[in-house]
Amino acid sequence: MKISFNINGQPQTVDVDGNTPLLWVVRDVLHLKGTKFGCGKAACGACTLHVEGEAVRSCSYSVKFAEGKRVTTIEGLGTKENLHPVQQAWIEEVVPQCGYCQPGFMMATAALIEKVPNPTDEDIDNNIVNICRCATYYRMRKAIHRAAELNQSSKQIDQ
Amino acid sequence: MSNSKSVSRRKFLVRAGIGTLGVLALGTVVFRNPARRKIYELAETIVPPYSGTGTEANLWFEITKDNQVTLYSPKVEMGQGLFTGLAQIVADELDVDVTQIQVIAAATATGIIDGLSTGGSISVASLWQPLREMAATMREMVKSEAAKKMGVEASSLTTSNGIVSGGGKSMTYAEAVADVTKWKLPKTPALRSIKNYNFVGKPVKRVDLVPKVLGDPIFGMDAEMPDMLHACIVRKEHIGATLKAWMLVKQNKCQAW
Repeated sequence: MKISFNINGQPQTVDVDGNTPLLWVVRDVLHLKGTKFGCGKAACGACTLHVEGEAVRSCSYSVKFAEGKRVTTIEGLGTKENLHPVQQAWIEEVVPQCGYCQPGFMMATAALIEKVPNPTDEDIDNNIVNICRCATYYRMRKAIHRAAELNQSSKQIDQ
Repeated sequence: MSNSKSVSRRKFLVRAGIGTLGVLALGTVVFRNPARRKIYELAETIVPPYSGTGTEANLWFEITKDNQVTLYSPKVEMGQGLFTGLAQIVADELDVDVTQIQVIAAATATGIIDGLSTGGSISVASLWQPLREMAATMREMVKSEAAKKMGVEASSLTTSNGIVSGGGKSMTYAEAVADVTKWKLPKTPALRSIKNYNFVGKPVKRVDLVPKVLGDPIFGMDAEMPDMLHACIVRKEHIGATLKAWMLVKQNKCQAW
């Protein structure tokens, strides 16, 4: 079936089985490889992207549900020249080790700080529940606080 | 693979850039590990599978037109910080800043991959000596080309941050080696004392942060080949179920998983 949605600001139509997980459409049909496959059961969060600004685990989200919606992947979060506050914070705190799970964490964090601009440690514990095999959690927590700070100051500049 | 012992480990190969941006690339064959400590005895004694003829390097780095250095690592970065370590090693003998070095995983298309694979804490130990020798040799090659272009003695030149200076003049490494077609490979210069190194042994930021926060396709799973097929494992639905039969069918369109 044909499914149309907006991905990273661009309109896109794909012709696939509507039950295909969004993850595989993004990776194998649209060739955006930043979104990762981890467990395939919505347990680890490596495949997290945004649908209408909400963090979604795309390995367990049928592409048909994205019809007419706005999808954002790590490739649409920021660029090398114009990093998203989350990416900036991740570099400042030297978070990634192997890096495989990090796009999922960054997408989850970007969604969190839009809803909770200044998350507490408890907010982080309750909302950022992805899994990192390198165990970068300690630096990630620091980076989430830093990203929230950067995000707020960039919004003040915008206003 | 059996003749690999007869090949000199210090045989350096020069060629034009192996990437699209390169102006000078230097490579060598690393098939035996020079690690000397007892713990690395395995690396000393094992003859890893090396399928080349001895003239196909498996360790390369090159200076690019924008005065950056690209290092093609035969070892895998899996979070242990190896790419950063290799960049530190190169930076201290080549006289470039560690941030000028981009380390990428060598594709099989650009060279033979180290048959010893990555593990056992031998990546840095095995590449420490050849990388330093290659970097020091390349630095002297750059200086000698800069000396010709500047009309001065190479011995009067100094190098720092990827720039050759002397007699009130300076040029980047990329400028020094641009348009050179014939290379003279000098004898490997004496390596510096570890005490004088600026990057080795000092904390530096990882060199692979930017591609990792941008979600660049740097992982094995991200590779795409022409006409590549995608597959996935179908798990049995019942405990104790066994595979009775299977068949291969042509699928033009993805079936839902």
